[in-house]
Amino acid sequence: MAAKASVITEQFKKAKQRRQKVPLDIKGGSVVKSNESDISVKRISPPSIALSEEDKLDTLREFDLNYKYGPSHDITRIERWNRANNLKKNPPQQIKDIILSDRKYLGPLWEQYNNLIPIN
Amino acid sequence: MESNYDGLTYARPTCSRENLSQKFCKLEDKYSRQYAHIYFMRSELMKNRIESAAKKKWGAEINIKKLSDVVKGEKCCLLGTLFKIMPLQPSILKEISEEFSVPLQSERMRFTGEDDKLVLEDSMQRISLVGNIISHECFTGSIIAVLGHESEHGQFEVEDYTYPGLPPQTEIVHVPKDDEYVLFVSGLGIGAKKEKTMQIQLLIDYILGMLGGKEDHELCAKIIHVIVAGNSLSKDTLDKEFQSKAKYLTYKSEASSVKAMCDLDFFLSQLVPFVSVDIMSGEFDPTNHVLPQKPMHPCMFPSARSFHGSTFHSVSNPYECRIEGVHFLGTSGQNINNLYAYSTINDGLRLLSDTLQLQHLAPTAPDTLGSFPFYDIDPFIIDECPHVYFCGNQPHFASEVKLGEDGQKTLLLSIPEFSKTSCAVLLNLKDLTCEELCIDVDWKEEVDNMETDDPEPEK
Repeated sequence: MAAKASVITEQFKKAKQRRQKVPLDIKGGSVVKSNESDISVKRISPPSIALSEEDKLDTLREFDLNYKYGPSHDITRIERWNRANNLKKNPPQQIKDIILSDRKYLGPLWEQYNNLIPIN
Repeated sequence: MESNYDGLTYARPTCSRENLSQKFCKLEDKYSRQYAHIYFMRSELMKNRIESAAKKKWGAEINIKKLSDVVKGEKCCLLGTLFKIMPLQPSILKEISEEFSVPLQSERMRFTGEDDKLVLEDSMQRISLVGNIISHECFTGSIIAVLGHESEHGQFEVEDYTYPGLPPQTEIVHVPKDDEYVLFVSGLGIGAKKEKTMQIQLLIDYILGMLGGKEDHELCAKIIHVIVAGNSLSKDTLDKEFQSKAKYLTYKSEASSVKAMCDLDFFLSQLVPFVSVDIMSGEFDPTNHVLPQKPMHPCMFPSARSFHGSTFHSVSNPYECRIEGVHFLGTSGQNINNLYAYSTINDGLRLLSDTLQLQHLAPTAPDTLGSFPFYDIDPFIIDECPHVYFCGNQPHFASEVKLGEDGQKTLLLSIPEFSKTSCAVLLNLKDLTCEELCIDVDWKEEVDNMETDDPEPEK
């Protein structure tokens, strides 16, 4: 299952990145400066992340909605994870791995809605 | 210069100075964030402190509860952020709301009223506070602990409340043997319609030892540092009219702030070759408006900046530093002036003392005091109790020593506005006492003879 999933996702990854225009604040100030080593988007197929796309999205959605780590609006997930880590709240390492595995997981849940423009 | 006295020379000692304000200079370009993050960080960072203060005051066994677990009638202790609902507070929502068609509020100095209500918020819920807590003496954004019980009406009856208390303090390592003075001045008001150029020049001459007699020279030689606490430019330089005029009408004239900065640079260039100067940003100075304010850029000081790094330092607001081992922390007054407007406390020293007990420089930021939208820090939290806690641009000079429960000792200092009072403050680092230094001129014009009195420097 894991091997098959990684093959499928590798195929789809290229197509999605061409169409997607998610305004992710990768080039913005603090994200690049403080987390330069983190934001290296590699095409990894780590054996530890044996989760399907939906499971990953679900975990990240739970992370976003968890009030323990503070507001999730207007802040990238990695910034929020680092903040929670600095406050000694022990956010699971797995979530950080998922966020760093693909660029599209960087922005919080709500960011996707910024792209929805009503068509008249 | 061969004079009545023996031609003594006094040498000014150099001072060791360490700037600790790096956390106030961390501003990104992103102003679009919401302020919920600051409040989250504030409550997270202060959680432990307020809990230990509550346990210290009411015993270690008190019942600390979350708002969601409160049981009616049960005595418990709640920790959270205070919010004051003030109907008279200017609200953008009220202004644009068509239903109410509220007439424009007349300009007020104070926004407190009879209907102010206090609410305690924690991470999930909020509850109204009634009872033994006076809303006019509390500030929005403070982290407090309240002891009491929930009444039948769903409000919390407060029996007692407490602030986090003074933060820990490190002792002064080397107490100087001789008198060493730091001069504070704020609100120079250069560029005003009635600016006090003569008084400012006299003050500079006095510091440099060009005025007064032997005792004055001896005193001034011991001034090792000068701190200019904000508002070096006057409010009149913020000429809105100039900004809105069409370019073709203004192409030959300059903004009044340009000339004012030249004058400020001229004054500073007289001081910096002889004494180290820290110039803080203030409300009307050319730097960013919201707190924390960045230092004024050295490019605006063409003459003084040759000493940049040695005796000339342009610093942020709030400003924290260590001079000769004494820990200073202070602002140009915006935080205290905002607290005046939103409470009925008239005593500046009481406000300084309250903010120190709250361990927060500006509790009303970002609610009523402009603040940068931080997301991972709250730089206004006071981690270490300073030895001197000052605030500039106040109506009068006042100072008081505040003692803490764990042996902390802080001098609270309120620096008067020079443009209104012509007074500066001299602080003696040996014993942390201070005195006011007034320099004024008295011009009398009579019809027949023009008589000008000699300017008098007096203490």
